[in-house]
Amino acid sequence: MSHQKVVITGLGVVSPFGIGHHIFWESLQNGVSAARKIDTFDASQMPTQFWASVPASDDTLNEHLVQRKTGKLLTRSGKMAMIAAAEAIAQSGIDFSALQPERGAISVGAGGIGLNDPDVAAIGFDHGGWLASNNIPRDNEGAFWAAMVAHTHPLLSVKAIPNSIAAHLSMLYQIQGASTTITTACTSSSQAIGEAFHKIKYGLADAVLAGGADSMTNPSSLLSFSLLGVLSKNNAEYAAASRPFDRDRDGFLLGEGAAFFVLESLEHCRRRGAQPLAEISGFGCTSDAFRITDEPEDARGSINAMRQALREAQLNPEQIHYINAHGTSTRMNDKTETLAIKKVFGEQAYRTPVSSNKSMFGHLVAGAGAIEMAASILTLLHQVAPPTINLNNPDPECDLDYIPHSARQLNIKNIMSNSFGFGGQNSCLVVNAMM
Amino acid sequence: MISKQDIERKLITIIAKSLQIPEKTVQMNSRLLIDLEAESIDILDIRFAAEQEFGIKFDTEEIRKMLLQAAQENQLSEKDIPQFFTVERFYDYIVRKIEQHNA
Repeated sequence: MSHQKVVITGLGVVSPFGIGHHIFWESLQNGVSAARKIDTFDASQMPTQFWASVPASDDTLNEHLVQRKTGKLLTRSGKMAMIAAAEAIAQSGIDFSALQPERGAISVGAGGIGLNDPDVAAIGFDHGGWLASNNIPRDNEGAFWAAMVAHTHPLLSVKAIPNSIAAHLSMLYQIQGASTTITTACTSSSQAIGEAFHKIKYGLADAVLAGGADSMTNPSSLLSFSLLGVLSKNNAEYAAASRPFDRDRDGFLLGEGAAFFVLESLEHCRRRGAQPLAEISGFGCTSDAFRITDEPEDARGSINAMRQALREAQLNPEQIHYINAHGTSTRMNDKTETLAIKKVFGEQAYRTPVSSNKSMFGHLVAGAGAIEMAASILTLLHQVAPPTINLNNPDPECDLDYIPHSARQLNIKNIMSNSFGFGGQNSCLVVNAMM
Repeated sequence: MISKQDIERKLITIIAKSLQIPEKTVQMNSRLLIDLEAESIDILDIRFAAEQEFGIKFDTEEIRKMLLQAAQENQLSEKDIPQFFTVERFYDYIVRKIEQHNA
């Protein structure tokens, strides 16, 4: 069987700028920072006191759900995923229930939804405090667990399973083929899109609803990332804290959100008279096999992922017109990613514009690859590359053209989008404008 | 002590909120699994919310036996339990549990 061309026919976004892809793109091309001071709990004793949360309460998100009843079964990231997926489906106009059952599939990048959910944290953090406030000796742990049995919500486990998003999407849209959930930290959703692309390319499905979501803007997640030392502590100038490739960068801005896409074979898209937005032509995926959070200095894993993606897309570095970088604003990532780009692109690296969306909306962790794919598709459609904001003092080790401060009009046919994650996973996608 | 009217009103609110349906849709003779289309997780959610609201603990086996008895009184069996799982029977059970609790 000949390989299928794979196109995207719908996209949907819930971002730290708000709900929908219009506000998302408007903000990106205007170089807006979505960072805000934390006001959902007293963060005054936290090393980091800001994040880029989605400006919508859980109740507001529930109001946007197609089936409001599912709100109680979804974590915050699940709600955002459902809203983004609904936008993608509407734009695409696809009816998955009209496909042969096994020809429609789902591919989702999701985070450690359960452990980081505030519902769980509220219980877990209460142990000692609960005993003390009830005048129960600390060694009477049984009393605490008895209270847990009485007060823990019985639906906790079905909310917490990582495949919850995929399951709800399958039920709502009657998608009856393979359901895949990928949990590889910051590469999760990039990989989910890549796997969806391969599924269609190699004829295993006609259409795949693919994307990802994450929400770590809660106290326990903020705490865990703070203690790991990966978040910026620039509380005084929080809107300028995320500064990828800048000499003074000190960590990332924690974001949250979701992005989803309808991927289809070009054939299927044409058969139903749909309009393709962009094509996906390359996917590279590697593991560093090195350390949990350190990247190898020679950037071999990232380099191999980028080379794989280029090879599959049958493109030379000169044919990549813009790179949507992983660009986290950590000391290590930006230096290593720059090195990887130079190794893969050679002299061409200095002529290829690169920018980091994370300078504006932060790091969506498991949702990062998906939301940056949304930005890449919009970049192709508008022929405008979003900037890297806050890049005031370039780092001598980061010496590429990062599109500082403001967006740039470019002739862009092919984009490379990078995602690298804790655990040493590397993922790279190549997306192309429709000709 | 909570009045029976209050129990009824609060129970209806809990059910409507869990199923995301208007309160007026929830009648005392509504069958939870059939008329209101509750699924098993909804029952868990409603039960939890009611336990928290009324400060009592429900016994699933007691509820099952109560409903089975109602089915058997109508010459029906275990598989017909959903037909007898009305808001009113659930309400009666809650009232009884609260009375036992306060006794």
